[in-house]
Amino acid sequence: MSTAERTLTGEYADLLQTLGKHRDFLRYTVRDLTDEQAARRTTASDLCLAGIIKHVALVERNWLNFIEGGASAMASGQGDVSVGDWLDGFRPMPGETLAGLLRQYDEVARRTDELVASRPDLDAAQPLPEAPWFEPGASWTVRRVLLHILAETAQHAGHADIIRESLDGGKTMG
Amino acid sequence: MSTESKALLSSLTDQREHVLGIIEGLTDEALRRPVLPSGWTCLGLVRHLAIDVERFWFRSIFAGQQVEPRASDAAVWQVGPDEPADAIVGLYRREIELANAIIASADPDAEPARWLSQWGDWRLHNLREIMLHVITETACHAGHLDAVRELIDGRTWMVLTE
Repeated sequence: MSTAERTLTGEYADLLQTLGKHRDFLRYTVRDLTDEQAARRTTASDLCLAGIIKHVALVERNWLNFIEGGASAMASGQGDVSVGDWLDGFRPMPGETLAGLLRQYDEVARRTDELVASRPDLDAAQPLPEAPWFEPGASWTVRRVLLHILAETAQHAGHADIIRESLDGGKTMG
Repeated sequence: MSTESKALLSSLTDQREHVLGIIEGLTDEALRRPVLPSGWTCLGLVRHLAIDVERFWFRSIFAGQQVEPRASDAAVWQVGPDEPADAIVGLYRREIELANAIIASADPDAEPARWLSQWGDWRLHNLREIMLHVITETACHAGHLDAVRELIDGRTWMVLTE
């Protein structure tokens, strides 16, 4: 248990504990897989399970950079992410294992807990990077960023459920 | 509404729109097709979100309203051929509106009006925890629908929205 979970109360604790629970659901969906299975594309999707773990860790880290340094600290804020880099964020590279990707995900999770615990105010807002999917000129608070990471994690856990079911019949729903 | 309520509602709205957006343009047949061995359909999932998620958590549990009794799992998940798709999507939209009215008039720290004894020690203590629960449940189902849409016709949503 991190310092954050021990000492935080109220909204901070609710947000971080809920996020922790949903990271665990996603970890559960990739339980007991070999690296070959985790990297395999099933009939269900172009995405593989290892790629989803890699992606959620990258996305969460990117949003932490936003909380710390604003839009210019985000990868997508610099306008230099190629399509190849983008796709590589969804698939394991040679030498990347599921265990290694899960360790990176744990490290990002720890950093989130510490960073959020250190913020005096969840209302602190910063302008979003310019992107077609964000309202022009919009700002997001720390709270809104955390809700985004949370929903994104839950959404990818749902996607991962289906991939797992088509991979080996492993089910978390239905 | 407080800034916290606005942020929670904005996040929930994103997820609801994702659900409605990813099924848009599917044929009636595709909406009713069990795509995976577990057997659920897109329309069944939307009705589950309307009845078991929006109506249940906001109207029944948080606000303590008397709601229409829920007959069975099958009555929610299995959509008969005589039940129009529009009616099910309409039900979801209506429950969203009713939920929004409740969310707009309550404080995130307000406790639910009722709780079920069969849940034992598990408890969502306030509207904030209920909203986080509904946001993540809706997001998780949106992820299911993403995968199913990709299976049905190859269309993807998430790559466009990151």
